[in-house]
Amino acid sequence: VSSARIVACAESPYTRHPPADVTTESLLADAFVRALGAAGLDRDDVDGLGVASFTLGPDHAIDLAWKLGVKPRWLMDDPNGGASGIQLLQHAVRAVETGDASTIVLLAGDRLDRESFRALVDNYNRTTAEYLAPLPTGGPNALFALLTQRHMAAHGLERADYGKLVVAQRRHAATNPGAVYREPLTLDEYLAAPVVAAPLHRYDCVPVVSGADALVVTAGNEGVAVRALRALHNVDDQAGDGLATGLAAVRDALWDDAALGPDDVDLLSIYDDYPAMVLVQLADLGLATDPKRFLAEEVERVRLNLSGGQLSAGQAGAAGGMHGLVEAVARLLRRVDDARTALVTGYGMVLYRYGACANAVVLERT
Amino acid sequence: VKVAVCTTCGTASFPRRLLCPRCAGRSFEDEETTGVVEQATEREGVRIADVRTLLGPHVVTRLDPTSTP
Repeated sequence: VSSARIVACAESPYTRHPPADVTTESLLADAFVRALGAAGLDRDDVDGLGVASFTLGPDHAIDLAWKLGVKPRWLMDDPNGGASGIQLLQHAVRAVETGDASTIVLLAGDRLDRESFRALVDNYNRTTAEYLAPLPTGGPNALFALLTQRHMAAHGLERADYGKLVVAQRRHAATNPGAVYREPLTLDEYLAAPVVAAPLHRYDCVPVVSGADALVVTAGNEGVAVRALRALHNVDDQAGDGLATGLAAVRDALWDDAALGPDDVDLLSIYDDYPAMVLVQLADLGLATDPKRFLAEEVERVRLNLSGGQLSAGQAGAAGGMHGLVEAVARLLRRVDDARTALVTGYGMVLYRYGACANAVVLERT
Repeated sequence: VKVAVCTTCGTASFPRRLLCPRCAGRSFEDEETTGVVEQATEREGVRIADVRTLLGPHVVTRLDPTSTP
């Protein structure tokens, strides 16, 4: 059993319209202070720092360490968006196990307004800047509209089927004071929302917010342990249909490592940039292998994306890759509903047609 | 549209990679090809489509606003 434990987490509240004096680094600093407070640790205890952010540049983790007054002996930047939270956790756990660091704070966050969001999506990578932005695709919504059409055709799904997932997550969001969308959503309201790029309408797309998330990883016996963590990126060179991620190839290894099965975990935090991708990842991991049946019979019952997910809480740039971890860790540490285990996934980095990064972690309260 | 064809194994890719996805070859030649629209959507008046080219690779492109689906 690993000696590393996640002992605290925090989220700097997500906002749609951040005041002018709020910056990416001020959001990361806020999450840092909140996480240390939750852990009962001092700044001087911290000897490891990892950061994921799209908008921190030209600064890096070392600039943040300097401005926070941290003197790390383990330091890491991870630019991999929706996969960055689990990426950072993967490396932090090993660093604590080997003694490279004893107390690591992992941060993820972005300040995104209309202008900076546009700049981010148009320059997401060289391929986007060269081949997609000039069309203009205007960000990932059009690409995932095409992917969702493929998903609908493959599984015989209609808009109302995806609506059941969105409505269920919105119901959970009522208990999350930080969620952008908290009011209940009916299926009729979901269907009547303005179109973004058919078949995607407003509530199929994450609200863009500013915010930050944090995790604290230390050595010890108490807290949340990583039972299993697997990743597989660029599984098909962008040449497929995007309806399977790398998780399908690592599913058996993940559950073997965890000594659990897909039906044994108490909580699910599945990366939800779009409803179709939640269903794709669930199927990859051996849950909801029949998405139509899952949406008809199970989505109301399972404990899935209980913060409301990014679809209700908002997507704060790279913080989206840590949001699900923070949600799951918070519930495990507080023993909400006596939850003991959780599955959290990460997905993202649209290279050209769909996301290329995929990872998943099975967590257990010890 | 022009796709990159590996001069070693003939595998076509788009956009051009650094090494051929199939054989890791380093040399490519551009080849003109056409394709079939597999999916299409419209965002803010711009029609975006996923086109499967006859040489294999999928290309995301903009459709002429006057063309019919």
